Amino acid sequence: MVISDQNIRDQILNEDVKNIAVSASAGCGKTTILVEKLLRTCNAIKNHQTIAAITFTIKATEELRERTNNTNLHKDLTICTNDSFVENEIIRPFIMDALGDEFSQDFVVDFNKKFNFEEEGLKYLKADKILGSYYNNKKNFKFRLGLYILKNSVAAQQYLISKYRMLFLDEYQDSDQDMHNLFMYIKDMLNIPLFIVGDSKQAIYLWRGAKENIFEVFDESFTRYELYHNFRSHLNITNFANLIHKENYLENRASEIVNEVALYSTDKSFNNAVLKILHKKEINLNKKVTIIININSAAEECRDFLNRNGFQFEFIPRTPIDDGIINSFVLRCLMKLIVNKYYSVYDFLLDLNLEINTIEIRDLEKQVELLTQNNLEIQNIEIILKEIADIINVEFSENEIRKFSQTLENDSYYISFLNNDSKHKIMTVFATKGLEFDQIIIRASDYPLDGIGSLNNHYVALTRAKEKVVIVDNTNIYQKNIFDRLKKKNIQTLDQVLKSYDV
Amino acid sequence: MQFSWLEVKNFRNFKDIKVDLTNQNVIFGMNDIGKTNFLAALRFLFDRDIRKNGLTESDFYMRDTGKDISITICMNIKDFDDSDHSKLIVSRLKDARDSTDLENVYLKLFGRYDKEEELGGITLFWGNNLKKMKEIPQKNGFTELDRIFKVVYIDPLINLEHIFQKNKKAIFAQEKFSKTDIEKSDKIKSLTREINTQIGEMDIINSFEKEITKEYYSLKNEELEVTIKSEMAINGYFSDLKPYIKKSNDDNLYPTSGDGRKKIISYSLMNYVSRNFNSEKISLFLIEEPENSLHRSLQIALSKKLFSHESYRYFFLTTHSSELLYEMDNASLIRVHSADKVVCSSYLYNVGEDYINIKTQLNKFLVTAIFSERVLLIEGPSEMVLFEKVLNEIKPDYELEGAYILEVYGISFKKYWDVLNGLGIKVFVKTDNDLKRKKGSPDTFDLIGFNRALELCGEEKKKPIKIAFEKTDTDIDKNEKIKNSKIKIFDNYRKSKKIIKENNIFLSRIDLEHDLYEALGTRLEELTGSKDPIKYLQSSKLINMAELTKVLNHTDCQKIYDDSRFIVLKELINNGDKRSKYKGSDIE
Repeated sequence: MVISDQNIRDQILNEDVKNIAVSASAGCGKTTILVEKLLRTCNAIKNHQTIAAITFTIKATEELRERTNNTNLHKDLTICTNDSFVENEIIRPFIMDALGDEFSQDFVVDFNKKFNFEEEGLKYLKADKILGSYYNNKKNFKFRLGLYILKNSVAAQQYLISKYRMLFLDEYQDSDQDMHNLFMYIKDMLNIPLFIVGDSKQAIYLWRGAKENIFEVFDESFTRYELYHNFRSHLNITNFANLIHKENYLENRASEIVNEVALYSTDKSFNNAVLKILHKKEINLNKKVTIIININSAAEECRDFLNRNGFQFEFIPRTPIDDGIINSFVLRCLMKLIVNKYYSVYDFLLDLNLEINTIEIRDLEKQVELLTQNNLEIQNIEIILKEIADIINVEFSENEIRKFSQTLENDSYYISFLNNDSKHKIMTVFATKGLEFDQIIIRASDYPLDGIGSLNNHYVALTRAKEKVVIVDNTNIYQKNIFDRLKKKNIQTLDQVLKSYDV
Repeated sequence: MQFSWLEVKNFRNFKDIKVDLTNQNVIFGMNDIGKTNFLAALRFLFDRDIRKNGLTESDFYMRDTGKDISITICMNIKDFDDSDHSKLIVSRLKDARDSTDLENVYLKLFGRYDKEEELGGITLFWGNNLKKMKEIPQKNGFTELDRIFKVVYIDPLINLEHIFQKNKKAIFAQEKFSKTDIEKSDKIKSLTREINTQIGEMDIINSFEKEITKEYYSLKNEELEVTIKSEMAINGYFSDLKPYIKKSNDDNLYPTSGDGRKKIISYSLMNYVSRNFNSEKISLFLIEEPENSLHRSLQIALSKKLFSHESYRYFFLTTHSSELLYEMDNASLIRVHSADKVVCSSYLYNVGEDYINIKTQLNKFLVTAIFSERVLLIEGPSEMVLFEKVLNEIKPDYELEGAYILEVYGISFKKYWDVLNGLGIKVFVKTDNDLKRKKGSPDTFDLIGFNRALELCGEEKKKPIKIAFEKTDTDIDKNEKIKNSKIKIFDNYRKSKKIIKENNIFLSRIDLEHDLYEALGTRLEELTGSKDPIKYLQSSKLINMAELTKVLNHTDCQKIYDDSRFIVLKELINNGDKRSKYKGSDIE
């Protein structure tokens, strides 16, 4: 396989030990390049120093450990979450040095111990030996404490300088301001270079206080790279998507004959056009096909129509909690916990990167159990949600509670939260986030390409497909919009990037 | 990283010693005084192989197991910013270090005897504050300390086979094979398999195998066979590799059996290993009497290697050899000696900028002296020739009893004075009462003799004096006036003279030749065949003194020895005991 941005990847790997930021969307092999760079840098170290690979979630830490396990590395790497790093490399060893002997190394981390002011937090830490957190989600007590200790303990500074040649930070888009401040201090004042990898479009943990666009705020001390080769999709598909949407993507890398992107112009209705296309050889019906329609009613109609005509399409609806709210991810996971028997509370904890004790887990399970009852009043749902919010340290707005209730009450939404293996599906673009399908069919009318939202959705939709994208266009302007954009990249004809048909 | 000091308490023959250290440390002293024990203390601290066996009763001072053993070392890491070694130490210490003292790191071994177990248990501590040390974490018997230091112990009977065996695996590691190496290796493996097949088919082997197996059965009824194989085939062909010597233009292979040769190969091997492996750790060399079996020239070559700071950056060396120390600089000299109990005196020896160009020469003279108990410093060869003659007549075994005469040869007395005193060696000085004319001022004279003595005592020097010369004075007149000035100075500065004498410095009233004349009187005229023996001796000093000593008889020597002007010789012999019964001098 030819990797379209191989030269960028090579450049990254050949770079000296210095500050590097790599941004890439999902499926672009971010973790792979991080691992390769890590191993290469590590093997080049001749003295005792080592490298720390710091991720955001426990899941990612485990994955990273696996991927660095079988190699010929004769060094001990530090692979941990950033919470673990700041706790075990900074706070515990040097808290007494920075704050005095009355503070102990043996404190317990308990996110449910809340406070408003720093003095209170320090009091709990000193007297009760509990490291808690701010009520205000945007402030991160642990990392502020870590930064303070680092600034006030030369022994701590010398420890990090002596041990680490370089730090590797994964999923950086999920960091909050306080985490960012700590790592920038390490880079600027301790001169330990950082290799940072992230996806500006993928911040999931905004609900935990992650700062939006933290990935955008790097200064000139960083050499920045962007990876665009997508390992999921065929090159011709990502080529098309990137030409239209990525400013820095300038070259047309499509093959001579493009089979993977097909634009069908038609006067017919969408449903009729699709029916015809399905009967052609364009689509391989033995493989998975997903039709993406961004309005629930139209999607349902399409399903009914196609199934009347002999197909078996399953409709995965867009739910009220899919998008547009900060706690979308949490609430989706919660719904999964309620309706999906293969999704356990431990999956829930892992996905949300939570560490709570057994008593709290019991509590959580109890509350979830309550939510499975029928005909709950919204007031009751609100109460239960507030309980759950306390346990997992989240805050749900009125709007979010309402949307969750809507979702919970309507069991036609449940299918969105189940493991779904049917071959032929219809879903909205919002539900496709993070997923991939063999072949997709999209409606041009869903993408007027006239605003950030629409552009984003178009990009997301296109990049869900692995092998084939079929665009059904019964608008008068979609083709022109595409063409205008391509002209900016000096591409004069559409057939350089796709196949056109009439149907 | 720089070693700073070492303290040992209640360990073997050390009750309580503390010595200053640098990264190159030389331990010397009489046989059986405890040099090996000094190294043993370090091995217990740094070497897991020694530590894991614990302490026995005999490791405790005077076998008093009631008193705990402690071995403490201090390391200075103020070069943190520039030193990988200091960084390595900091990275392992982690929370055992706080910001109150960023320069020093202490390691401490603590040994306590358990009467029931009949074993001494060892605990290790470290930290940057002697009052707040933390126990060193350990896992699977390996402590964090062992991840910092790698002890390379080189014993005097360095065993080449053993070293080669130990390091074979690492040196010839599979991962380092080139592509052709891998092919060749496979080929060798199949050849060795072939060897075993052939061996297995030999009648004599077969019949032996059958017989042995039968014998086995007769003793124990077990379903097995005894079979004879080539070791190479079982343990891999590397098990069979040994080093040999091959000379150019000679196809024969020679076993490395000569001790000298073995030693050099062993050192080569050690160098190779410490250079290529363990680059992550600090290699600490503990070397015992490496001079054994080495010709003088090789000892000197080894000295260069040791003190060149390249291969052997951190070492503790015990030795009896002066040659080994010819190249020393920035070294800690540690003398182990005993009064009633064992004492260690240490001195941080620096050649210094002034002497760096004559380092070897400076060291050559010094290093023989440091192996003595009492040293007499003299100015030059004429003193040497005379004193050697006298002592060889009167006390021929003076060197055996630990006395030594050292010519200073134009290098300042102070250099030797400081080192020898620092090592607890008794130092005596005999020097002339010289006056030196100041440049550009013909009637002003520096009291260089007196001041030389005063400087050694740490006293203030005297101001120069003026001698009134007349225009009409001849050279003889002038010399007479100078001589009289010397006498005047000598007689007048009583207090200074007392201090000088208390410091074992013996100043001539005028000079050696005058002392000799006053001791022997007219006999000297007889011996030199000159009416003015002083003039005679002062011209062609060395030759004429040498001629003189040829004709001195035993009585003459006895007379000189007993004379108060040469009392320094008695002091040297009698250990500087001021309360001896001999005549007091008139130099009061």
